[in-house]
Parts: sequence; structure tokens; C-alpha cells
Amino acid sequence: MSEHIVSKYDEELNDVARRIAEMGGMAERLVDVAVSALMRVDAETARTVIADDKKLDVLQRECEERAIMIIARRQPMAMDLREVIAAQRIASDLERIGDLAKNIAKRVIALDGHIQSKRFNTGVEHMAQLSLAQLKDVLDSYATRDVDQAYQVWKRDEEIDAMYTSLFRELLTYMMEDPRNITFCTHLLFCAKNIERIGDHATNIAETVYYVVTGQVLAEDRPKQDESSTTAVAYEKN
Amino acid sequence: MQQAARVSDYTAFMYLGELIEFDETTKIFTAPSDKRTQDYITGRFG
Repeated sequence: MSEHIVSKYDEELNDVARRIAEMGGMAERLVDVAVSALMRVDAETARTVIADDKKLDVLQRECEERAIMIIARRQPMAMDLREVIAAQRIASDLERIGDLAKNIAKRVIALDGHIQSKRFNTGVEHMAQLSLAQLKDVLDSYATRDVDQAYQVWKRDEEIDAMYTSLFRELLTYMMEDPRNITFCTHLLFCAKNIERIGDHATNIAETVYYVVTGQVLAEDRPKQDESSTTAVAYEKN
Repeated sequence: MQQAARVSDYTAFMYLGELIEFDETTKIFTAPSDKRTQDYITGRFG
């Protein structure tokens, strides 16, 4: 970034961007740990996620304070203004991602002691890998200001949505197969929903990165095929 | 500059007698097209 006349201003902007990068790394780790705790139904690991989410909240508050301070003292314009606004938005998306990871962790604690067949996990695990890849790519695109990469992330969210829909159907089948699966599968379904939401936040960040770099809002409609809200399960009446 | 941002509908940026950019005020102050306009309003020179 080219230098401002007031060099302290540059330092402040860089400082905010650095904090966002730090938050991004932390959010990624939280999701990763929460999902692996879920796969192993490991309540001990899940507790560390809940504790670490607090640190992410603190970082977000700091980011926000710094952004407000820059707006108040420097009156940022043009790309600087976009930069500051974006930092605030991304910080709140990352904070939400941390919360979603925490939700997953809480369910793991609720599930403690209910070891279930591994076959239930594969779908969720795969979805989590995809969400994590999205998160990683979007954070990279923020760091390198790569509009194309951000755009790709934005377009790819459709995959996660489709996967969520098919996972929904799959888990329903398990539940109908044997009612004893219902508790575990319901928890798993909520976790899948949380993972899907993490993907949504990644696309929000992608939109923000697009805005920072181009100054324009990504206005076209994102490809969508999620129809889980209208998915019905056919059953036969005896 | 703040005054122009506050009161005008359109803003022009002139530098050394040359008209660099003319556009809607919102555009000039949020996403100007010319790098020199950008550098000026963000306080990188002048």
C-alpha cells in the first residue's frame, strides 16, 4: 500500500488488517478443532473451543475499536474508507464463525458418551472440509487482495448448500431406519447446519473483499439450488 | 475537501491546471477511477 503523508495512518490501517488476519487464523482453527472433536465425540477438546471462542470475541472488539478510532481521527476516504469498513464487516463475520464453531462444540459436550457408528460422520466431515477450504481461500483472497479468488469462493458456496440438502436426506433415512439414531442424527444435523452457515459467512467475506478491491458491490444473483426448506419426505400409510 | 463532500452533488478533481476526474460526489469519495484522485483524497499527497 502506498504511503500516506501521515505515516502513523498507514501503521493504523496495517494494524487493523493484521488483526483481521490473526482473527482469520483463529476462526479457522476453531472450526477445525470443533469438527474433529465432533468426529471423535471428544468433550475435552470441545471445551477448549468454547474457551478459545472468547479470545476471538475480544479480538473482534479490539478490531472494531481501532476501526472507529481511524474513522474518527483520520476521516478515511475512497480505498481507505472501504478498507476500514471491510475490516469491521470481516471481523464480525469471523466472530460469527467462531460462535458457530462454539455451537458445534456445545453439541459435542451434549453428545458425550454416545459413541455412534462412524458411517453417520462422513457426510458432515466432508462438508466441514469444504467449508474450511472456502474459509481458507477467502482469507487468502483478503490477504492478497485477489478479486478472482474471492469471486470463486462466492460462486462455490452452492456446493456446500447442495451437500447440506443431501446430508439432510441421508440423516432422515438413518432416523427412520432406527429411532435410536434420532438423538445423535438430530445433533449432527444441527452441526451440519452450523457448518453450512460458516460457508455463508465465507461468501459474505468474499463479497466484502470484492468491494474493497473494486469499489463495487457484487450484485448479480448467486447460483442457488438449496431447497431444503421445501424438502419433504414421502412415507407410506399403512 | 470535506466541504465538497458535504454539500455538492458532483465533484471535480483538478491538479496543476488539468481536469483529472469529474464524477458524482459519492463516487469520487468512495471509489474514484483515477489513481491521482484516489491518492489526493486519501491524503497521500497535497
